[in-house]
Amino acid sequence: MWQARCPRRWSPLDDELRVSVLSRVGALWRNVFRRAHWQQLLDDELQSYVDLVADQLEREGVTREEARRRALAETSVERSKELTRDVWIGARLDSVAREARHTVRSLKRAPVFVCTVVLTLGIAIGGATSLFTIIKGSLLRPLPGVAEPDQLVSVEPVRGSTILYDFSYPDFVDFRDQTTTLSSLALYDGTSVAYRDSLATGRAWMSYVSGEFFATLGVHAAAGRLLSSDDVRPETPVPVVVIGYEFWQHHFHGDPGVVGTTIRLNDFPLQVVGVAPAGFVGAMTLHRMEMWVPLTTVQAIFHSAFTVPSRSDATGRLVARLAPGRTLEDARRDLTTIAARLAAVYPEDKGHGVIVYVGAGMTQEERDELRRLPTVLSAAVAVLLLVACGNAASLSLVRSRARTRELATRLALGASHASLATTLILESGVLAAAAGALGIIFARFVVGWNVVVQGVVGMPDADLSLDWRVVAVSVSCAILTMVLVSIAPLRATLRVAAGAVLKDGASGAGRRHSRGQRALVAAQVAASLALLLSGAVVFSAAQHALAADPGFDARSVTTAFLTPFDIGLDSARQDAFYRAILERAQASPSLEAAGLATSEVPAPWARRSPVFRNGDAPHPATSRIQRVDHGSMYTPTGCRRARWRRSTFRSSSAAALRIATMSTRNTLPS
Amino acid sequence: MASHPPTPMLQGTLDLLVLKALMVEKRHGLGIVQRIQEITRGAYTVSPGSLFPALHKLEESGALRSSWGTSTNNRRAKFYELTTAGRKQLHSETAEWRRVAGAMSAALESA
Repeated sequence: MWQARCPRRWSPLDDELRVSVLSRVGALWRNVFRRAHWQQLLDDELQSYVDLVADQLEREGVTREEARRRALAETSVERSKELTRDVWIGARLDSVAREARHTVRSLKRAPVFVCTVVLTLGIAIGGATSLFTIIKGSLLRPLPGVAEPDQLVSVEPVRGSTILYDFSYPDFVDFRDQTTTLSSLALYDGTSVAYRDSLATGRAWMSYVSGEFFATLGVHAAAGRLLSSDDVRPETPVPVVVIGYEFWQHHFHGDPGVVGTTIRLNDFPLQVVGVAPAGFVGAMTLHRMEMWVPLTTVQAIFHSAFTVPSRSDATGRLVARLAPGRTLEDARRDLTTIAARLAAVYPEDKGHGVIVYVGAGMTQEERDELRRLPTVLSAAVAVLLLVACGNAASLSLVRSRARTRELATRLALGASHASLATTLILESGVLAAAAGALGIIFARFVVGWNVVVQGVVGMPDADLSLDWRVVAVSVSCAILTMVLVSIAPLRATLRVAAGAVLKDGASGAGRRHSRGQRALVAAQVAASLALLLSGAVVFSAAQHALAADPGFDARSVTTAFLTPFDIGLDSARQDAFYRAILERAQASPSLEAAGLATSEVPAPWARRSPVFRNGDAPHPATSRIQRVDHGSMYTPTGCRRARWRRSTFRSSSAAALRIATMSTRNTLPS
Repeated sequence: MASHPPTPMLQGTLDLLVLKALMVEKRHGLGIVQRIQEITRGAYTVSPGSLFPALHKLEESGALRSSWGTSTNNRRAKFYELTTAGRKQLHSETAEWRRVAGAMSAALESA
């Protein structure tokens, strides 16, 4: 309608523009793809021009030979052809292609230089890319499998500057009922349990959660249903469990019939009601959860009677989802107010406050701890990249001394500054691109190498696809360096008169940028030295730690972790269990000696396990095993070579015990 | 050939002269050079180094079209002729040139 009333105005310019554009596109096509033919036509055209001029001169009375000679001189065929080719559309493309061929030829003549630069830069790019990929894929990765992870917040209770980690259930209920800024809150924690069903037995990570957990994280069941508030009522008739997708696939081969079956956790029967979606591993990034049970069944699973949760029992961590339109600041203000109110009313909460931060999966302490290593490594890798760029730069500068002469020659022969710059930049670009390609291959190899990944961040399921932004940054660093460096010889050449360079050789130009080069070398040596020294410090510290005497020969020690308490054995039966297993271990012909310990045998790689010599009592404040019940004692006899021979080992009815089997063949008792 | 001291050519003049030289009929390279000499009364002698780039540029932009033919003295030669777009360009550039030249004359003749 509107178009009918307002016809488009036709301007003659449109026609011209169309003709011009079409014609140019056609010309570009010819010039690029039918170049040889076009060159031949140009040759013919100029030849014909020469003939016509010669004919004319002949008609004016000049002899045939003289006419031909003069016609050729007047036409200057080659120059005319060159000038004509220069105006052809796409002529720049052709000249770039020519320069590229020239570049490849010139690089072929310096294989050692090329290999050194490409390897140096490639390794640095690969190192930087892989490290930042690992960091990004693990630490900076949001909690997998949850909806809108940026809307999740974590809340931790604090007393002054001390983080208390866990909230009590009554506190959680108060926060849940009083908040105005959060749409949903959930309480959760996790532990490891022994599972048993008709198919197999094993250990799994189990999370115990409040009813709002899955709703808060925005997770939907892959089969059956997930947990809801109805499941956390103490009077729930049948205890239920939701299993993880991986566990389902791996253990039950993805059988949908698993819903409704019974699985025993610590020998306590629970009914499987559903399967969590693929990729979801719970709300604890560092522990991949395989099953989820309602908070209220934990005591039953650990064989204790149900007690009404008290305000003094630290029960779990808190994750919450911001209400639509609310910000972190709103939530912080809101929760701080509620915490102050609770602190004023309940003596258990006296002096308590909260910290609130965006994201879920890791506690503040875990974040800080994990962040430290990558920060140090990132700095080291950044310096490495810098040193590599410096190396490449100084190699290029040395090479450029020799090239100053070549460039001056080309300049004297009529090459334009632009064409020289193209050559130099192309050459650097080719090197940097090759280094980038090598770096990407190297990075793919490194991130696929589990030992390295676990060495940087001990985290399962990191998302280790190469991040192209990271690759782009590293490669651009290299390209920028190389291009900047490549400009140096050109500047030197242009500063010095071409004639002077040709006469004196390259020395004049060489002297001119030697100051910059000296500075570069100095910076490079300084950075290399810093890296080397820090490397040496780390290496010697590691060596020192490895060489530290743990007090016994740890080379042929095998450790097994026993948790009879979990399956509900009472104290007397536990003692009998320990005694029996120790006797069997000691009787085993494959073991030289066996003993029981309350803590892991402090292996050279163990970090925090305290060793108690004979008669020492673990100090509650410094020890991880502070809940040891000093019950009956076991003395491992015959722990040869061990200064532990006279050590005291305690059994416990409250804490898990470990059996330290010191074996010469490094095998477990059968 | 003309023995006049060469007149420096203003930017863009050559294209206009080439178009003008081809206004009536198609010509080969040398024909265009001679025609330009003629119509400028010998002021401009276009060298092949300027002529062929200009011809090729105009052809690529669609103002000229070329074909191979035979010259009057029976030589194979490449002939150029104006296209519709070229004719329009000649008109608009002529008008533009007149405007500039008029303005320049007025400026130079002023007191």
